[in-house]
Formats: sequence, structure tokens, C-alpha cells
Amino acid sequence: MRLWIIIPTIGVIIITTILLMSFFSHRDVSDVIRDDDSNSSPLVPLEKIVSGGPPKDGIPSIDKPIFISVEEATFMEDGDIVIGLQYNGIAKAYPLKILVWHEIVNDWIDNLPVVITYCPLCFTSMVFERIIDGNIVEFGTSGKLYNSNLVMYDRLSDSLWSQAMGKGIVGKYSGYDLKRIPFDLAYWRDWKRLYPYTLVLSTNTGSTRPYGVDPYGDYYTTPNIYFPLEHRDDRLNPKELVVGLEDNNNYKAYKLSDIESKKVINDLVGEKKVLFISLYPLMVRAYDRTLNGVVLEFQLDNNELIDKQTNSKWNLEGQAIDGVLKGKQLNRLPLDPSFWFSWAAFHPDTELYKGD
Amino acid sequence: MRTSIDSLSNKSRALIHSIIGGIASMLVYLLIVVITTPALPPLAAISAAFKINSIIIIGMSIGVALQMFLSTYSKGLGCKIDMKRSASTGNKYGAILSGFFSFFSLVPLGCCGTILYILSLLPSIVGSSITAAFIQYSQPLAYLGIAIIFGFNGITVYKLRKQIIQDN
Repeated sequence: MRLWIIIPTIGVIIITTILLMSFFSHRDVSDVIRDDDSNSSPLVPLEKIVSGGPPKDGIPSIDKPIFISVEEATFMEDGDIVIGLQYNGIAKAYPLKILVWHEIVNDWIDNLPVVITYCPLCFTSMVFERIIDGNIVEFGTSGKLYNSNLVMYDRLSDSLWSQAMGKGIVGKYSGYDLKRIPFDLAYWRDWKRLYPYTLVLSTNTGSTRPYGVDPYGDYYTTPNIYFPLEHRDDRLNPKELVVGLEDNNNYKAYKLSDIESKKVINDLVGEKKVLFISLYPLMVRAYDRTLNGVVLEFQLDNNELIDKQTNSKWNLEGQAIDGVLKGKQLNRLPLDPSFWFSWAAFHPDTELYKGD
Repeated sequence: MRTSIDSLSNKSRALIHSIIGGIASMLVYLLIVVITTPALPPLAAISAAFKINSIIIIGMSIGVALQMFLSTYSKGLGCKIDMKRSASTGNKYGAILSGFFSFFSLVPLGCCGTILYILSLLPSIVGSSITAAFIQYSQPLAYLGIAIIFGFNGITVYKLRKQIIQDN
């Protein structure tokens, strides 16, 4: 009657496995602290940094990205979502269907070293300058999570970085802020229409992956969340898509659908006067609407962006293209697109835009 | 313990075996869930697995329990061993198929999770296209596994019944 032995044995295996796994996951984080000679204290409680399962770099970052033209990108479909970067006349698109298997791309745009990051579970995408203390660094996946969000590590000091916070959380660079680069989240059809010269990250990534199939299935569209959250906020559906903005520790979230329907929003985040503009679905940009000390208010008139103060015309890039302000440039602000539950978990005191 | 079970009637013994088999298969499944989801507390992982795959977990356990019942019951009747072996093998493959593909839907339990890691290793073993098909059709394939388990159980019941009639 061996089965009478099997059940208790399985029970013992379960308990042993859990104990071993929790022991090793804590030891990993402790190793980062032990190897750190700067005595920086962790920014978040260590027990909140948990192992996701795979080892460091188990989900491999793309470190030598290869780009192709729009014509060559036959694997792309109009409805695919891309992270779009535009800098010094260069445009690059990073399809989420590739990023879902890699989460991190170490790249350059013109002469700027950047890291493009994506956490599918939180739907957080962020782009950072990958320069720390004057050194160009590469980032990789640590295999760990904080608040169910991607934790990266840098290959210079092995410090751990929270993607959603854009900050070092454990190790030498604990507390260090990565410089955020404004980017777009856009449908491929819109991005290539706006930037026909764009380059696209190719599927030739050095790894064999079933690009085009999303392993998260219908997770994005169902309201269910299967993991515990540090801070739950019921003001919105957990998976409502929001864009968040920060100014001097003031946080404010905007429902993506609100911005899409209004197209132009003039608002305040903390002390900062902000313009939100969305002329294409999913694609939202934010600009500081204070120009040389004058606060501008914008409106859409016959599909043209006009400021009420001077009636100057502006384009999506934040440049005045006609009127007395012609040639002036608004300062673009980096936005955090994510699911509401993730934004609220990282920013429990966030304001939520209520509309007019 | 062994003596007390041996003294039971054939039906009771088969029933006890089936309950143990069903619970054991469920425990093995949940053990794998807990191991592959270290980011979650075990209870949260188990609860999430039930939310996502309750039909598979319960169906597989009932299927295995039924197979254990039939196997023990037919053994008690002195039936031919080859019949039990084929059914047992079919059930085993059904349970593996069902369990394997149902794990695919557990990817959203954690970012950078073990299941995603395993899926990312699959293309180097079976190729990208087959992996893509596996991911896309994981749910129907998991249910196919359940169907195989119950299919073999059905065949076993039919053969057993036939044999009992012949023996009488």
C-alpha cells in the first residue's frame, strides 16, 4: 500500500521545497549587499524582493539589437504595439511581441546609450539613459520581482533596479535615479505613418523564441489578478490602462481612455502645468506648457493644436510651426504607461484625474 | 494499515485507492505550481492555480481516481493484467498532457516566471512553430488530456463489464 507513504512524502517535499526556495531567494539578495562596499542601504524591504523563478539572465536581454526598415519588417502587423523612440531625427520601434520574451533591450539611439524595458505583468514600459556615474552600463533581468514588477540588475555593480521606480533599490546604486527618456507607446500602423523612416527591432535577436505568440494569453484583457498586491486601490479597474506623471513627489494618473477621448488636456501635476495630447489611439505625449515663464493653454481646433494665448499652431513634437511662437519648443515629459494596479501599488498617494 | 485495507471488500479497497490516487495527483500538480511560482506565497499560488485551471485540476484528479478505482477493482476480480496496463498508460499520458499544457496558462502568475522561462527554452527543443502552436492551443490541448483520461476510463469500464459478463 505504497500510496499511504506517497501522500506524507509529497507533503514533506512541498514544505522542504518552500523552505529551500525562500532561503535561496533571500540569500541571492543578501549576496548583492555583501558584495557592495559602498554601504548603501536597500531602498525597499529585502523580503519584498522575491524570486520569480528563472536565474539571472534566464530571460535574456537583447544586447546586440539588429534593426530593419519598415519594408523589411514583414513580420509586423498594423495592430502590433511598439515602444517608439525618436531622438535627433532617428526613430526606432521596439515591438512588444519581441519584448515580451526579453523584457530589456540595451541599445543606442544616435549617440545616446538607452535601455528599453517592458514588464508584461504590469504593462509598464520605460526607457532610461544607461549611464551611471558617467559609465555606460548594460542591464539584464535579475530573475527577481518587486511588487510583481521587473527587477533589473546592472552589469557594472550588480545592483538591483526597480523598473517601475526607475531607481536602484539594492546594492551600490541603491537610491540612484536613472534618467528617464520620453517615448511613445503606439500601434505600428500609426508609428510607421508618423515616422516612415523608422527602424524596427528585428526578430534576429540571437535567441529562438516564438515571436508573435503572447505567453500571457488573455491576461491583459481579463480583470483578474492572481498575485497579491502591496497596495490595492479600487478607484479604477486593476487593469485599466493609465499614464502616470510625477513632479516633485506629486503623482497623478490619467485614464488612457480619458486622454484619448479628450485628445487635449491642460492640467496641473503638483506645481507643473502640463499638456497631454493624444492624436492616435494609445499614443499619449505630455509637455510642460510653461514657455519662458508664460503658461500656455492648448486646444484642438480643426484637428490643429493651437495655444489660446497667441493662436500659434503646434505639432505633435511640441514645436510651434506657425504664429508668433513659430520655432519655439515645449519641453517633453516622460510618462509611465501601465496598468492601474501597478501605478497605484508603486504610488499609493497618487491623484487620479477626474476629468471636467 | 496494510492488513486493515486488505481485509476490506474489493469495492471498498478500490474506492480507497481511487481517493488516494486522486489526492496524490492533485498534490503533485499543486507541488509543481508552488515550485514554479516562488514569487507567490504557496497558498496564493495554489488559489490562483485553482482560479485559472480548476476544471483541469479537478478533472484530472477525478480521472486518475477513476482509473485507480477500475484498476484495483479489476485486479480484485482477477482480470487480465494487459488490459489494466494499457488503460494505465493511456491515463498517464493523458494526465501528463493535460498537466503540461495547463501549466502554460499559469504564466500570468508572475513576471519573469518559471513557466515563461520553460516556454522560452521549448523552441530550442521542438522549434519555434511547434512552441507557438503549443502556446496558442494550450487550453484545448489540456482539455484533450482530460478527454484522453476519461476516454481510457470509458474503454476500461466497457472491457471490464464485458469480461464480468463473460465470466458469469
